[in-house]
Amino acid sequence: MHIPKKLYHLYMNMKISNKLLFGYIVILMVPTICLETIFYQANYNAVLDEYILNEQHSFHSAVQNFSVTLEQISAITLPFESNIILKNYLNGHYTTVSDAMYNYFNYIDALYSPASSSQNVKKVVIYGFRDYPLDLANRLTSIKNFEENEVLIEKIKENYNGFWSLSEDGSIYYYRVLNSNTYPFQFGIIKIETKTPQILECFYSLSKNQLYLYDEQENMLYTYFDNTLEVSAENLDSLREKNKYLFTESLDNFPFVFITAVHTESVINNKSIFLLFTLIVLFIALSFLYYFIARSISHRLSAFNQYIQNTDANTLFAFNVSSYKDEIGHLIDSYNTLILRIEYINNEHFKTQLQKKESEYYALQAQIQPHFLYNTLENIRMNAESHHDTETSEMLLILGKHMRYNLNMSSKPISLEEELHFAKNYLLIHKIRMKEKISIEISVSTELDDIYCPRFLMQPLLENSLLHGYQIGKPLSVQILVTDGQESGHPGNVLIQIVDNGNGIHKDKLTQLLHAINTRQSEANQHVGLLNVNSRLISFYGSDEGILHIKSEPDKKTVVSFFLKKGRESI
Amino acid sequence: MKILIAEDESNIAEGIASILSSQTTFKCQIKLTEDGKDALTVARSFHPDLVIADIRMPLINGLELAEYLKNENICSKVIIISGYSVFEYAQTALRHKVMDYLLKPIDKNHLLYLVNEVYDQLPSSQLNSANWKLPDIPYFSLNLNHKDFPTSLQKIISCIRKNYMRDISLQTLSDELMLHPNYISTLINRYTGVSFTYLLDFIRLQKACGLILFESDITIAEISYIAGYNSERRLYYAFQKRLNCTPGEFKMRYEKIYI
Repeated sequence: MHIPKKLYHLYMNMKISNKLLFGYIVILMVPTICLETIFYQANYNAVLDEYILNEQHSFHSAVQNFSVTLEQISAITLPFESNIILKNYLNGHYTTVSDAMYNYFNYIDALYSPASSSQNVKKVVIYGFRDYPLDLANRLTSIKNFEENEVLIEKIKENYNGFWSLSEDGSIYYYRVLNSNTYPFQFGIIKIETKTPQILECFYSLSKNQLYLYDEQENMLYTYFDNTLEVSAENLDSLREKNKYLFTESLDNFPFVFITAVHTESVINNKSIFLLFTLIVLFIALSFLYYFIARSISHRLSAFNQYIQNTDANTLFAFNVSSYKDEIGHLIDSYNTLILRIEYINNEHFKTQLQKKESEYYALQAQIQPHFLYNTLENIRMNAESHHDTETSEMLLILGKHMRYNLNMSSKPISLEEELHFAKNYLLIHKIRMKEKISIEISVSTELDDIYCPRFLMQPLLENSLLHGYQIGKPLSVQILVTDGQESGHPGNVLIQIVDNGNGIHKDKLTQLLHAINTRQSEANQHVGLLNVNSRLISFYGSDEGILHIKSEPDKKTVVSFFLKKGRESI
Repeated sequence: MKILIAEDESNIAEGIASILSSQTTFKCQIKLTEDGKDALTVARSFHPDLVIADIRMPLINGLELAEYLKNENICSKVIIISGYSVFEYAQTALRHKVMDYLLKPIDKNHLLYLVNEVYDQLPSSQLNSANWKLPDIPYFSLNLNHKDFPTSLQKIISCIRKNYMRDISLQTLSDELMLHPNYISTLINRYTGVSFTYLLDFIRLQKACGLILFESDITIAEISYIAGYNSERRLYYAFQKRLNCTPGEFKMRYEKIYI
């Protein structure tokens, strides 16, 4: 139960392309290859069987043909057997040369004519058992001239109906005892020397298979090659071992066994190879078809998936691809519609937000009316001035400058020097309120050319110092120290330190604060001022360079510091 | 010195008048007008040395007034006061070659500096240093107009030049320029080779010596105030320290060369 579930999960978590590949292997490749193998095997066997049967059949008919040829040759002896004159001649009835010659040329010589006209016979020789006054070496002679041994003669005598023999040079001979039905005794032997290649011609069509002739008595094996027979170096057992398809045929009147070894290689070489090729082509074609179908699904899906994965939530665009009317096409269409809808809503939302902001801004501006404000302030200030109230005039000057800076709507970065002026004004305004309870100092110890920073960068930090730093009965000192970054290992930067001698930050809180700054996340809207400055510095520099450093000794001093780079006006 | 103030808001006009009459070292004759047209009419008979005009006035505005005054050759020194920091205004103002464009709230010190500048260039001015030629002694050879000076140092020198008549210390300078006192003295030392007090004395004594040599009707006591020493004793002390003589001896020694 556990393992199938696991396998199922494994399968479900695979990529679509892998799933399709898996499907390809399991559903297409393995069954197709198996079926093709089985089919091929079956077909191969059928073809092989048919082929072997066919070969066997032709082998059989070739042997039959050979048998017919043998019959024809043996039939040549018939005229000799039934001829009385020949019998008389052999039995020694003609004792004189002239008698013998007379009878031979008048009666016997004509008997040879069918033999000499036969294609298959080389010569016919008759050996009589007696001595004869006339000795015709190649036609009619005494047994004394019989070149073969006694064993053969005995064998011939035993086989009344003729005897076939094979000489060692592969020639075929036919021997037959001449006897008479009326005279049950033997008076000679007839030997027919065949034209062996001619009579073996009937086997020629079998030449693609190896043909053997086996002499059972002599245990001799002859190999047939190009209408000749040769003594084979092999024996029957080794032949049996070597060849799978070995067929034998034997004839009643022929003492040899025909053996053929069917070579099946040729079967594979043509028909089966073609079949195999067809099957492979079919398999490849199916594979391509499968690939095309699988790709039509998976490719678009994965491309779409890739597109969605790469899409940034802030920049949504429609997925531009030629769409088809299948489910994937519908899916993409739906996605595009959705994106357009989101874009539309976003735009609408943005527009309304913008309009809202704009109207708020105008409402605010209508309330404040900067020019009216400056003018009124300047009126009061100059009035004080005409009454020689320099102190009030100074305060109003500070307030006016502060207002001017505050109401500047520009979002461009300003020079650090300007920002310091603003910081000074801001602190001076507080000094108006708190008088001797606060002392301020702004000390620059480096050149400020070409240093820029976001607007109102320092106000939240100073606000913190003023808000958290003041203790009753202890004058608060707020310092802004600007030094060359070279001294603290940041050449090309300036170090800005905002130092107060107030309460300080408790250790735990400081850790929490630093964590919030490092992760840029605050809990429950705490440290908004610090985080605001931090994130503005980071976005101003586009990196973590502009991060706030905070050090604090409780009840002694707190230092908030950061670096500003030179030459950053363009940002 | 004759100054015409064209400002429709009487509080501001009177305030400026009060500043100018009470905080200048010279005598000011000030006239107030409430609109541009009136200002032009008055200027034709008054011939002011300086016109301070608000940019927004009925009938003729500050910029137009400046143009009329310049075209009629009545007065070329016009300071424009404005509540707007709008770029176009400032641009037009520059095109009309006004002296400066002051934003409300007006920086009193800057205004006084500008007025002093105008005064110094008047032919009748006692402080018109254009005709002065100080004696060619090593003390006056210090060159403070070096272009390679860092911005801060240039600001320090210009601040001292603007305020030499006031009580200046390293601390007041530091408060004004937001620079660390040590940094100020280091900068001065590194680039001019002299100390801060030397530099201050140098600028003050230039004025004092000029006045002694070329304005014979001013008393030493007056000079000590004008030069920012505030007492004859301190002036004497500075002369002794820097020039090794008393103001009287200085006058005796060099007066004859020029007269």
